[in-house]
Amino acid sequence: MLEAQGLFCERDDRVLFQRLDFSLFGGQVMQIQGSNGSGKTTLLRILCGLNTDYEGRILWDNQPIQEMRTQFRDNVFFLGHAPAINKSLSPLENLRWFCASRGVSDNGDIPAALAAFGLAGYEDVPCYVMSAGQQRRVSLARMKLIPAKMWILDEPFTALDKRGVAELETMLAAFVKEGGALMLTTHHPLQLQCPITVVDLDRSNDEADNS
Amino acid sequence: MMNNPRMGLGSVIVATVRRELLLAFRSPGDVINPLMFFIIAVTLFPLGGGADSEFLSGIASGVIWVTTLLAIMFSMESLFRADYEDGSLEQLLMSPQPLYFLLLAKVLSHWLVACLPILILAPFFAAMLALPAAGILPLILGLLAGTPTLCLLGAIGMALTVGLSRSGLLLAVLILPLYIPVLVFGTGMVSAALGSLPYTGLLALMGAMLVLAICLSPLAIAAALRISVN
Amino acid sequence: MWQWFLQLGSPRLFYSMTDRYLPWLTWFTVILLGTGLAWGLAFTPPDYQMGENYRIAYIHVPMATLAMGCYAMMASFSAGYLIWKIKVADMIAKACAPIGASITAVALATGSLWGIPTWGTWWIWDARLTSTLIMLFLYVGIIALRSAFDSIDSGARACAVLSLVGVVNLPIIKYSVDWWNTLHQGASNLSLSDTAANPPEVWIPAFFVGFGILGFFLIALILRTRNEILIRERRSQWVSDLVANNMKESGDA
Repeated sequence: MLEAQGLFCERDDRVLFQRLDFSLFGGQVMQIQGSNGSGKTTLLRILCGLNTDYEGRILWDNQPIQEMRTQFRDNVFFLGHAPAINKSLSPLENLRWFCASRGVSDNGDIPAALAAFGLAGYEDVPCYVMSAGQQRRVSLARMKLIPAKMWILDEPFTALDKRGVAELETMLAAFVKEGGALMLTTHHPLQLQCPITVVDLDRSNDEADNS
Repeated sequence: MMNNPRMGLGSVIVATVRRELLLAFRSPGDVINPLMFFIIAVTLFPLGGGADSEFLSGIASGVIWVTTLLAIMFSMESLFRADYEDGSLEQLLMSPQPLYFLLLAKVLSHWLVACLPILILAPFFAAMLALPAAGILPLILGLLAGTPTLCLLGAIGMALTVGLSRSGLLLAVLILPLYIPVLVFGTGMVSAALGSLPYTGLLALMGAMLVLAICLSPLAIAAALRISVN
Repeated sequence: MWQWFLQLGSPRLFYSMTDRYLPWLTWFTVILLGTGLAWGLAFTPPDYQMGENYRIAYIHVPMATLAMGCYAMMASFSAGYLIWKIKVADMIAKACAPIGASITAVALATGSLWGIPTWGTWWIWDARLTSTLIMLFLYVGIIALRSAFDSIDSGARACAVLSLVGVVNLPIIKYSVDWWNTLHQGASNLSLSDTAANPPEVWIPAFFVGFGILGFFLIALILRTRNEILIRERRSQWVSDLVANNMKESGDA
């Protein structure tokens, strides 16, 4: 589904990663590992097309991603560090616009999606009165609302409590089981009932240096 | 995974405008502050320059135009700042929908929120500045055609500087020179009308600039936003 | 031709090419400027209307022309950078901004100096002076924007977008200022008299000085670009070699 060939990225005169190759298929989980500042977030943003300072090739369905932007965006859900939730709006209003901005009709599914993240009854509460963890859940609820084949999640477990983490893990496992492709970064030890491919940015850099 | 029906581009635009209006409704400062700035700044001119009605009528259209232009520039901060900070901008840039129309919808809503109230009050303040009655209509028509252009140009500047922490005055340095043609033709329309000359040609020029701005500036805004989130 | 063009996009090649041609360019410029200025300032007879004062035109006119040309050049290189991602194009565009701003400032200063004897005041809201002033604002905006970015690449792209926006607006601004000027002042007839009417001893030195100033502009541009190349490529092998070589040479001397 998504393939990277010879990715190279340097930032502020420091090489983050080089000669990075991987491919990700449906039904596969890929965890990007690396120490702080090793370029995990940068890599995800490069794959999402938010960062263009890289060399190498990225393919989506075997075509250069530059030519597949619309198909790619149609099928990818990205969760970044920031929750992308406007605090003056309620969860319902936030999610309604999120769906609309992607051209997806929400069809009244929003309350169900919120309920799946334990936010039933919070639909109309302004987001500024909610805790960071609750806002995170609103943000996560978006992935229930759009038909995406691939989820790219940057630290999805941040600010979630123990139960939230377990629920999210179940949800991720279900997504992968249905044939979704999942790419994520996390410092939390993942407990998914499926095999995990690990891409270690620290190691990729060392290997390239030694060869 | 749910397979929900797709929405047309029209409803995407409507949803965007609705969100922006809702946000303005929730934080009324976005509407009131540009308006108050306009009112207070206009009031300063007679206080600083003298209340002689002959003097005032000479500078009336210039004062209205310049304060409107500054109010729009200061209001730009609310266009992308919050979306940039909470990450909504990233999501907007990753939308499969054409960014061109999404941005146009955002700028249009900004115009409705920040400019329309000024436009409504402008004739009263023009009258307070002793602008002769013949100048009122061209002033309003000019503002109607010119302020959307100003919003679009301002949005380019805002998109370029939204990633910078302190960008207020930089924004002014970047976009005020670009505002000059609108200012010149806008005030020119009023002068022409006061000199009993036709001003429709100038209005057509303002319209042409608006069309050009609608066609090109969303592209520049999109490019600038991509740079800013990078 | 295309291949050659793309090759020049390599900072290293740009550096070595300019190394070869810079001395030639410098000599040409010195000769052109020297003859042109000496001839124009000392030997050309005074103008029957403006007397000796018109001689400032030898500096003013080329500077004013170049102010606009430099902006067009900056915008073209910015486009080249955005479209083909040629890094040297951005370095040239970056070098254009402060040079263009200085040229515009000189054009303004000489223009208003010229204004004192001819118009009786150092500043009037003449269409040309005003649009040159706005030109200066545009340059200042671009310099300010670049300096506001920490990341070189983001700053470069932002400036490229801004210069392209500026170049679309520039004709509109110029037109609007011209129009505004005729509305408020009546066209000024105080411009330099027609070149066609001028005798050869006036326009030949003007020609010399004009090209001399163009040469000077190119030298400044190339030097600044080379400087930028060295800064940005400081970690590459060829720059270290170059520095080591220079150190050795200066040690020998």
